[in-house]
Order: sequence, then structure tokens, then C-alpha cells
Amino acid sequence: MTFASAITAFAAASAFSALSALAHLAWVRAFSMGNAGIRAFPGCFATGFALMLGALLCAGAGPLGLFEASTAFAFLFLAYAETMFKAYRGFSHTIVCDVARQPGVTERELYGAFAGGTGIDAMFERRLETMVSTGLIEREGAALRATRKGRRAAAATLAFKRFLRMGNGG
Amino acid sequence: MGAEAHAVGQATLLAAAGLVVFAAAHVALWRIFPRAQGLRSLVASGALAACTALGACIAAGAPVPALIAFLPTFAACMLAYLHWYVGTWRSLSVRALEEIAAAGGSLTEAELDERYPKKGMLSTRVATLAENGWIVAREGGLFPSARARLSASAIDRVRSFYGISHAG
Repeated sequence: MTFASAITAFAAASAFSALSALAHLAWVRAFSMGNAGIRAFPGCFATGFALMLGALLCAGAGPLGLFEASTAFAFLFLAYAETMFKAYRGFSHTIVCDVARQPGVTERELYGAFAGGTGIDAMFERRLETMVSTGLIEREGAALRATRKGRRAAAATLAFKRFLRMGNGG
Repeated sequence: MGAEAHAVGQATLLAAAGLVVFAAAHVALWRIFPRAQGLRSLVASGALAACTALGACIAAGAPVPALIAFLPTFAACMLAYLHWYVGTWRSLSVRALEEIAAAGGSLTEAELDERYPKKGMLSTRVATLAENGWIVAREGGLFPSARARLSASAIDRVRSFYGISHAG
């Protein structure tokens, strides 16, 4: 009984997270979202999660089955999120792709040829724009100013780095 | 129903206990051996914590449903922590934000580049990738390792499916 319930829960989590991933892919392609497609996946997975809970409740799942399915779904969601962040924004992964595409490229050439010709300068400019759009910094003329939210976030990450002696990072 | 709810509570407590063991092992490892930093030490700490928690529970006679429910709970918490950990450690945006905050909250882009040079971003990351066997520097150029070629092929496929261009 225990194992059957767990298998059902894990199967439901796998099935609905796979459907959520397919829904994200279909949405991104249907609306030609390109690089903006990363914004769509939390909504797809939130819908998938709700549908999974509904299906399990209709099938008579108890608290343990719902708990197992929810935590397994959370794990799969986080694994998908990690993959998406790497695909959309992964700095190391993009360097690896560039080097694989152009073996023998020098670091100087890579600076301008980064991400298939985007270049490091444009890449970093995009990151600054994302930080502006997420309210971490704002532009004041030529200056970049950390907002209150940005200062709090920086304080948290700096404290974490100092505590674990991680160095400057980045 | 009562037994199931009890098992959920036990699984949650088990996961919390596992996370405490993990945090202690992880922090101790990094503070005592800062050069041992890396994902391998993190995974090792996580595995140690999971085994410790499971072992203690089996010894204490915890019911099987709680043990089964503990596994995805602990795995999800570990993955969430990994996101936070790698993001804080490696993120270019996080570092840029920290530099701006540390400079009194405001910097021009030129000043930011002085404190956190873009050329340095690339050099540091290339050095890390070389150290971890992803790329090889020789004859003045950079070459992919076998696993880098495999990884690049997989990433290119994902990017192609999702219509991602100019990533990074």
C-alpha cells in the first residue's frame, strides 16, 4: 500500500512536470518568444502543479500522497529551472559552446565573438537591463544606483560569501 | 488519514534534520578548507547528511512511509540551496550589484568596469573552465574537451528547440 501510493505520487509528479515542460516549449514556439521565453515557465509549472493536485484529489489521494507528489514535483521544477537558466543565460555554457564552435579561438577573439557574435559588452549590458527591469538597480543619468531592494539583496549575498569564505565570486 | 498526516510530519522533520546536518558539514568544510570549495564538496555534504538522517531514522524505527516521503523533500531542498549557492557564487549580476552597493550605492558603468572589469569576467571564467577540464588552452588558443563538445551539442539543441539566440 505504502509503495503503491508512493509510486502513484511520483508517477503523477513526473507526468505533470513533463506536461508543464511541453506546455512551456509549445508556448514559447507558438508565440515566437525567443529569449523572452524564460518568463513563461513558472506559469506553465504553476498550472501543471494545480492540475496534478486536482487529479490526485479526484483519485482519492491522501495527505501523504499529495505531499510526496508535491515535493517530487518541486524537485523536477527546480531541475527544469536550472536547465532553463543555463540555456538562456549560462555564461560558462555559452563560453563552452563558443569554443566548441570555434576551436582554437583566443580569449581576445572570444571577447568580441561571445554568444555567436553578441560580445561580452552587449551581454553585460543585457544583464544590467535585467537588473533595472527587476528593480535591483536604476539608471540616473550615467550612474547605476542600487535600489533599496538591490542593497538588501547585495547585503544578503555578501554576508553569505563572507560566512563561507567564498571570495568575491562572479 | 491520521497516520498519513503523521508520516508527513515525520518526513518534514527528517528533512529538516537532514538539512541541519548538511549545513553543519558544508559550513565546517568550507571554513576549515576554503580551497575545497566546489560543487563536489557540496554534493558530498548533501550525501552525508541524507545518509545520516536516513540511518538515524531507520535505527529509531521511523515508519517506511516517512522515509519514502523524506527523499524527494530533502532532494528538493538541496536543489533549491544549490541554485542559491551557485547563483551567489558565480553570478556576474550578483557581483555587479555587490560592487555597486559596496561603492555607496552608485557607480557609473566606467567605474563599475574599473572595480569589476568585463575582461576579467571572461578570463576568470575561462580559467575555471580550464581548471575543471572543460576547455584546454594550448598553442595560444582555447579548445573544447570531449565533454565540452557533448555538452555544447546538447545545449545547442535545447536553444534551437526554444528559439534562444544570443544567449549568455
